[in-house]
Amino acid sequence: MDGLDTRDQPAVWQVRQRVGMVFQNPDNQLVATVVEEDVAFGPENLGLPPAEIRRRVEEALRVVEMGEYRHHAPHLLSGGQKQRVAIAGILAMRPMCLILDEATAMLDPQGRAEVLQTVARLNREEDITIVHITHAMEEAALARRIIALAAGRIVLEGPPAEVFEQPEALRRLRLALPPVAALVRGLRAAGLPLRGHPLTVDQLVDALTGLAAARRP
Amino acid sequence: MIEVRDVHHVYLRDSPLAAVALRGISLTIPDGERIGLIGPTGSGKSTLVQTLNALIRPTSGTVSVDGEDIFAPKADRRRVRQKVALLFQYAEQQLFEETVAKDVAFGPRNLGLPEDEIATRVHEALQSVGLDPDRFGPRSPFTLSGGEMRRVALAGVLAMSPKVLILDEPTAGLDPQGKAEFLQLILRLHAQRQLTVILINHSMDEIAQTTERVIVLDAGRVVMDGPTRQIFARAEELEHLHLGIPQTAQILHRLRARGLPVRTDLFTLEEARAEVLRVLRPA
Repeated sequence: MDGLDTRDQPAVWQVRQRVGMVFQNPDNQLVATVVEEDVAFGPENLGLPPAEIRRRVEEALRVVEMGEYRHHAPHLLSGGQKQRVAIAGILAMRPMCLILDEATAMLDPQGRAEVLQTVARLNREEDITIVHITHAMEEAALARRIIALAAGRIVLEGPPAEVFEQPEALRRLRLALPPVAALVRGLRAAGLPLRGHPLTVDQLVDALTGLAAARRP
Repeated sequence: MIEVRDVHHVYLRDSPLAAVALRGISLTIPDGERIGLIGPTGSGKSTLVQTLNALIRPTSGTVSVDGEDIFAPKADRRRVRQKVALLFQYAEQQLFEETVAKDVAFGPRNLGLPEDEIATRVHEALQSVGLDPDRFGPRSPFTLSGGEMRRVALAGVLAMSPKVLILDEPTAGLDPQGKAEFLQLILRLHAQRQLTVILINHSMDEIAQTTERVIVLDAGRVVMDGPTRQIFARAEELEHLHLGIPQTAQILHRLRARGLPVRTDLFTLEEARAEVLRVLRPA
């Protein structure tokens, strides 16, 4: 990890500063009674000066768009908001990589969308590596690279467009095609000349309207 | 049949932390229906279903099951809970016995049934959820996979021989095939045991596949109630509630918004495929 050996016990805190994890249950990972104190927990443990901690907390809450909740009690937030506070706590450590371990599984559609938009922005604007562990194939479709594990081995790996070309292999892994990829497959099988690899609702709608426009005289 | 009349519920009433959860819910749920109950977080779904089997006594209003007011002073609420069973979210976390068979037997034993009747019910319940009673019965529940443990929890509920099965996010955390299998299992149980099924779920795709009627709650009120197909045709209202619609339905709605003459009251994969092909059939 960034040149550090994760087996090297003395390096473990440096590793954990670089790689942060958000877990499945939003109620199990917030430790403080006020949002900004929760976000400050990590940097305080790094022994940073108070002014630097304040700066990091403010910035982290701004990035996850939770600044206006800084004085709120975490347990009264929605699931999506709690997960964003958990992400802010990690951002305050200035990590290189954020691992989400089914962090959207317990959220409603709104909460999911909030978390997915937040991590997409962190990846794009803050250049943070995102590892998103998920059973939701439509969320996996948003990644640049999918890695499928089975019995402790990597069994499939590649960009979503390639991985979703292998529905049989996915089925053997108890996985499935996301709805958009399944529809694309069905349409192609019926002879519709869809180009490219639409993976999201918007991409497929664009491809289909493009096809319709080309048909018009 | 379940009848809910003008049910209101306030948590921590008469305290500074009072929170209104239900604001006048009225519903009729006939026997054998498959209902999806959806709504944003905090809309009152879990509170509502807990009033249906008398786990929560509403602040006001009545709930009756098969004509009997379940909150009447002399009502037999144990029998109500046997009739109307609730499988909680992450129900496998509530398994506690040494063996699968003992865990499934816990409910029937509390009903005071004779031992041979208990054994029969455990056997049938495990078979119903697709777990071989001889193989799984003697095992510790904690040696099973997550999907198997959840089936054991469901078997424990079925062993009570309920008429109504309420499931709160039953597929959360399962892998895609585990989800599909669990939903198939629920449809099979519905058909075999003539169960009424009430499904709380955040996945609109799963609601679309499993239910025939959808009830939408928002801020403690019923804001939509109708056949599943008609509810998912009202995409704008659902999106306004941050609920969304199945992805296949989203595609049809956006195509229509871009001027393609597709129907928007369809949502299964096969329906969407046929409809797109109808409009864009290869020349």
